[in-house]
Amino acid sequence: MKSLYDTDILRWSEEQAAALRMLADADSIPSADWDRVASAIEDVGRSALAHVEDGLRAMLVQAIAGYCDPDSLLRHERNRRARSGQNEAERDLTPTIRGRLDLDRLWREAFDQAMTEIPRRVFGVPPGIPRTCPFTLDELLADDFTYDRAVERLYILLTSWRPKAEKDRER
Amino acid sequence: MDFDTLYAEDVETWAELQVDALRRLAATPGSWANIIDWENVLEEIESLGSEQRRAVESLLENALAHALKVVGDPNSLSTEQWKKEIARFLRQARKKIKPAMRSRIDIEEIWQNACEQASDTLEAFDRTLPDVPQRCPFSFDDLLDADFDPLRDLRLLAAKRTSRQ
Repeated sequence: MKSLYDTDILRWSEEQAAALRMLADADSIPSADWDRVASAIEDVGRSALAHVEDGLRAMLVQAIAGYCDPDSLLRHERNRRARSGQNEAERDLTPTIRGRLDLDRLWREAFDQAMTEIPRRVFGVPPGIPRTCPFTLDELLADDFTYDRAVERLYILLTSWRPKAEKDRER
Repeated sequence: MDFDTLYAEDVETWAELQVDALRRLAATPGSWANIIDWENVLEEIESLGSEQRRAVESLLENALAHALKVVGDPNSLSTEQWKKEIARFLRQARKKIKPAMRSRIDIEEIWQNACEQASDTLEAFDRTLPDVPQRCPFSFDDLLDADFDPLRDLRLLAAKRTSRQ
């Protein structure tokens, strides 16, 4: 039988930590550093959540940097970073972690980080970058979602620019 | 020693004590028996205990492997990069190592692994591992010394062994 440990590490760690803390208060329990043991177990789930967040944030950083600096020579590198961010996010994603993600916070953090990464020759940051994350989680995790796709999506969402194929269709 | 000090200075012994207590608890009948996922909790606490030491071991192994490669392939441009990385690995190892790890770190095993790692890389490019002893020529204290220079020592060692032949 698969344990919650394999299927939902965040819930597992929170439930186990709570149970260990309850135990610690019971009588006739062997002496141990129960509180720290419980915290260590709790950290297992927290770090899984942090991994997913790190991966998604990395993807968003690349998308924002690419939107601000589309002609960068770093395109291949950004593509690679976004891909590895997606892999990292997928690896630890569980239903409970999904429910805890705050994409808008990650988006704002990613914006701050992207601003430190785009080169100085880029004058100013383009207007219109929203305060909330323009991507959904499912969109970010889709197999065909790449760095190029992310940048293109931002152009479509935030400007009047459209890819040629779409313009042809509208005509 | 209280748990706080033990956790800070010797997390591996700390983890062993916790694992002992957890095992004793698991063997005691009680309402908690079914609530705790003993197997996975134990595994997590055990790996928490050893992860810092493993990090140090892998830094030392990589530093020594790089040093062996530099000695085995002294003229290539790669050595410049390896030398920088040796210094970085040793610096990081010194930062993470704790006196309590002394009895748990197996220098011989690190040396064996480093030799294997270096010879794999060198042989893939038609070079061979320098003539170095089977037993690790360095002590735990050598590795911790800020002035430790594995390159100088390995070159001396290899030269001595060659001249004796």
